[in-house]
Amino acid sequence: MLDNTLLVMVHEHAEANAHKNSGLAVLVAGGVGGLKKGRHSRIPGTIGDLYLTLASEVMKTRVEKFPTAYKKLDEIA
Amino acid sequence: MHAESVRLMKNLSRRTFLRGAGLGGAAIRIGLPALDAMFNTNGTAYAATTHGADTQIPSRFVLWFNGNGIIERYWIPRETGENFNLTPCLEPLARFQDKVHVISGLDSPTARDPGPGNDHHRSMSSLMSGVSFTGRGAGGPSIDQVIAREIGRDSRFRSLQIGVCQESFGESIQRNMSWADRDRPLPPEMLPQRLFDRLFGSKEAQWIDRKKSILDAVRDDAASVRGSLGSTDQVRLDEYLSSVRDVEKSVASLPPEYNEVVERPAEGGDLKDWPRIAKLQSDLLVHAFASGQTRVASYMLTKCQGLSRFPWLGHTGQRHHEYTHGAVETPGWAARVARHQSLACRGVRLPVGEARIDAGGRRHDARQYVVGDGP
Repeated sequence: MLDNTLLVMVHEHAEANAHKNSGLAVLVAGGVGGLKKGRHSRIPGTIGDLYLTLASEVMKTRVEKFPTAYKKLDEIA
Repeated sequence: MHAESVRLMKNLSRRTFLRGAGLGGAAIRIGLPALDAMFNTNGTAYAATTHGADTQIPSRFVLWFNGNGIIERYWIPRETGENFNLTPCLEPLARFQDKVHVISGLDSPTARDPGPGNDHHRSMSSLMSGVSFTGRGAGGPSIDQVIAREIGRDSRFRSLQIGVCQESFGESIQRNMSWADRDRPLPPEMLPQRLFDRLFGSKEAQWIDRKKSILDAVRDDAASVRGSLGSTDQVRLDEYLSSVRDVEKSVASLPPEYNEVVERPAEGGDLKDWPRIAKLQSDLLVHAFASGQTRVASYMLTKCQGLSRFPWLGHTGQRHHEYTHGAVETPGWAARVARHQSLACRGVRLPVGEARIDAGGRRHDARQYVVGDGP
């Protein structure tokens, strides 16, 4: 089932003590589309960039924009 | 195999439900897992049934949320690339390391827009919708809903919102992760009984006699479908229905207090063994996917700015919020909590007969979990 599912795990903060909302850590798992896996990437982008990349390049939907999304992330797909 | 049997096998719609009647004649329907009989001859797609072309095996999307934040030094790997060492908080994913992409360094810039609310409110709105907090709710639709608009239309449920940990504290932005649009929350279903009822019947309460199995109500239909299946599919159907029975028994055996909405519990009154609920909710999500009832789900383990405690770990002093906020007692404690949360959310091993296509175009069963270390 995981092979046909894309799972994204998020928290509202990174380091919670500082209420950090930059440097967020996210897990992306599953076998859908061309998702790159089995690695850790430190990505200078936004959470919107990640969502847009997942929606358009991994899930292959027609979603073309999302707030705070400025670019597709080559590190992901 | 008899020719007639083969013909029938290839005509089974992936939207087949086993139907029956519950209390007062309420409709019961049980979706079916992917069966060979639903696939085209190559096994590469669902076969066309009444009209149209073969349908792609559907992909699904899950947005999974856990409240507060992380302790970065126990969570984020030091190394980047393929050769990274799992941190204590990621250790439970060891068996799935090749299926996971760990990402760090992402910014959520609109969380820092000036405006109403505290840091948690603002971060939550920005995280889910990319838009700043309105003072009441998220500033726009959340990403799961944006995706559901694209891929959810043909499903029984365009999306499902599932929650686990009921808590006394919190406003709308802290209690909801899915937003249909600006200030329009889609509340998570926190109660396993209600989620079960939605998946296998109707929304009306009390339609199921919990002393009986819903399988009794669909027995005739199940026998009829089973008779038209090949032997492999018959085994899959039997395994699937027995897994429905297992989850039904788990739901029915929950203590009464696990099936009540907790609006305003007394201080400390929300100390539940919520991993038990997490396991059930995960199992029900797997069933919803396996039987094709939805393609999109959000899963809210704990609330934003969550204040739950962890009494089943023998530790009731710190609340989730505090131990992620500087009150970490030992590295071992943080890792233990993280590990337990991860395990609590594991999916059930379910014989979904899900298709996987190899490089040669052959289809294989992939009897796998949604996430985590299955039982």
